[in-house]
Amino acid sequence: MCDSSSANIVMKNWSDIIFSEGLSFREKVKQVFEYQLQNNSVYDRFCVALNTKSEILKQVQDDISAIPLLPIKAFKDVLVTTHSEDNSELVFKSSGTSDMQRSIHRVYNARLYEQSLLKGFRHFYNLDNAVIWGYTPGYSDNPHSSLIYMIQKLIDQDNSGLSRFLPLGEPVNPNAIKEVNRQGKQLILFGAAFGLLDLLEIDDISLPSNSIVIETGGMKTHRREVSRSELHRKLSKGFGLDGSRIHSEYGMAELLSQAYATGKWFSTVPWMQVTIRDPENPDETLPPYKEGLIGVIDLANVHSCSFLLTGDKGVMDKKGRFQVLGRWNPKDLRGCNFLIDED
Amino acid sequence: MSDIQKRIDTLLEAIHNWLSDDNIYLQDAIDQTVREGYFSFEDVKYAVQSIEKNLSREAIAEWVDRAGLRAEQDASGQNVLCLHAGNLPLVGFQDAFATLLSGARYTGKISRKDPYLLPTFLNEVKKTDLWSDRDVQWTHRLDDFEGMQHDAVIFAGSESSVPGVKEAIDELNLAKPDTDFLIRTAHFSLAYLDRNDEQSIHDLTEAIFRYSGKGCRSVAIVVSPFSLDEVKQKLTDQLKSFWLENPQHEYPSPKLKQQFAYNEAVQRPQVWLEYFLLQEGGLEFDQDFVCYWVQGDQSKAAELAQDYGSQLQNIYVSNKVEIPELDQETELLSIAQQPSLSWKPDGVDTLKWLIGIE
Repeated sequence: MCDSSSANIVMKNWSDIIFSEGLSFREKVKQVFEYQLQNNSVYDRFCVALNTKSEILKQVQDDISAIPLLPIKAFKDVLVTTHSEDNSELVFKSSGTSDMQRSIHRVYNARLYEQSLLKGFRHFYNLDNAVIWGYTPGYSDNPHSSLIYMIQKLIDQDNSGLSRFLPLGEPVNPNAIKEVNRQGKQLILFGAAFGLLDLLEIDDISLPSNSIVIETGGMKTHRREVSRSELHRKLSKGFGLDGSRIHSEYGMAELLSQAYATGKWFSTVPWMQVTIRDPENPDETLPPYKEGLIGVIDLANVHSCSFLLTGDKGVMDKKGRFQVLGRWNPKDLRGCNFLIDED
Repeated sequence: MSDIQKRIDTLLEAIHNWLSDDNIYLQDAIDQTVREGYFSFEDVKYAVQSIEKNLSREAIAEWVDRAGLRAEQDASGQNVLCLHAGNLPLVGFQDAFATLLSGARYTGKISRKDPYLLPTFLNEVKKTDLWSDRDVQWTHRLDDFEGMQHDAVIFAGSESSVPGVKEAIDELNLAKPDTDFLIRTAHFSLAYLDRNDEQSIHDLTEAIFRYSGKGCRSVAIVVSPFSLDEVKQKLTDQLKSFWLENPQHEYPSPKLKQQFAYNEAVQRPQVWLEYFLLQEGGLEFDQDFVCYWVQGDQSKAAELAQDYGSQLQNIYVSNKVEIPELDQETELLSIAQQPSLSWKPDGVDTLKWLIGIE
């Protein structure tokens, strides 16, 4: 049962809870779940349609994997929020063309997102010694991109003046690279898959050997497609870096936390958890090495919905790390379809 | 008597024997199909009766005439490979029939999901004097035909399955460099419902729910000036009677309940039927057992037909309704699950294609 009154729970300082090192992940999840069940009408209706509220709460007490995961497409169809008034501080939208239905994520506490992205980044990298470059459009051109907002915030942390968005379509100034090197800083370059490949097309670039390139996905566009391993091979060769210096970031407009892959597998920050779900029965968590849909618990989404089922295909290893294998395409349905293995 | 006339007479004789009440082979095949859980008895019976109803000397003659089949324009001497998918009972019947009617030799890969029914018809064909073991061959394993090159191959597929099928055909050396392929890709049909009288709702129920909604002729999108809410009661009443007589054979995975819950979450109008879901809008086609309802007029139906292009098998209408600006022919909703012998899957007349005109 919900033991906290609605009023009390709304007044909670969620940052203290979510990023607390004293509380277990399970305890934090339970608190956020109860709060969202009470205050997010979309999520409440979703849960109640699956089971009675008391039954769900009872199950969750024993096992947080029993928490229903709301399909992430909800951000395209409705406003997903725990707030009754629209007093959002930021609005993030998924990328897409104007005629596409885009996800809209209203962020009610920009400070909480900032904490999440900075603490998350520091969880993996030494931000204090980093120079951040973003080879993406700048924040002013894309005020609704959560990724660009994140890069901007990372850039803002650096007082050296060397961190910035690189001008698109222009070669990287070798002197700028030299300056990063001279100051003994580590260069971290962010960019989407094809953006980085396009940058390499412009001119030969050799980055200092301790640099890190973080690709942020986008391996498939309407014109081009590249596998993650092929992309990393090209980036490694193009930037003159060891393969281990090419990393990946997994994030999206609907999530306020990110996962990073410093090798083949993604790891999450402590307030985020990924599971792989059976696409035919998303209540079921799949065992390691079985492909399914990526399910996410992102506690930084406390003001929208923290329990989400993405449309991405993924697989997990025994250590709880995961890989993103593209979009989940359902099997061809309805109608005749001759299948070698089945027919 | 011309060769074509002989083929028609012989096929009619084979059909007559196949569908006669004392054909124990067909009875056994139906029994085994049902017992082993491939399809429900009601669906098999319906499929057999549908063939019986639509197959007549007149229907064949009309098809022959329309396709332009004649002595100097047939498929004699050609070898045709039919790869039958088995999502519905006897779904490959028309291809086998058209191949034999065209004069070609028939090679069939019988579906493992419908293994017994079609062979009983083919056996009746083989018992006649006109077709020998060499002319009519089938198997349940494609590699049994290894090295047998064909002039034409017919199968239904999709963007993701076609490369694998073609690869297998290459590996088993089943085609020549100039072999023609008839690959069908349509997966579902659309109905335009301009009235909600009892007959129309009855026809719509059959069109949506027969064969658990899994046929490409099954209606997956309904466009109607009525909202789902307005038709809901009549449709559920009709469905209750339908399911009493035709219990759904296949059950959806728990994913369907998730879709229901999602619709509740986003407050989308829907009708939850435990084994099936009707929902207004949200056309995603990412799972079976869902039929989408779109409130709109004929132009909306035409727009959706345009949007779904090659994925769309048929567009059904009630009597006398015309959909403007539609390239595709329409069919009557009442025959959605009882196609004529000569219906054109993916808009292609199979007989015409076999004799090289289409």
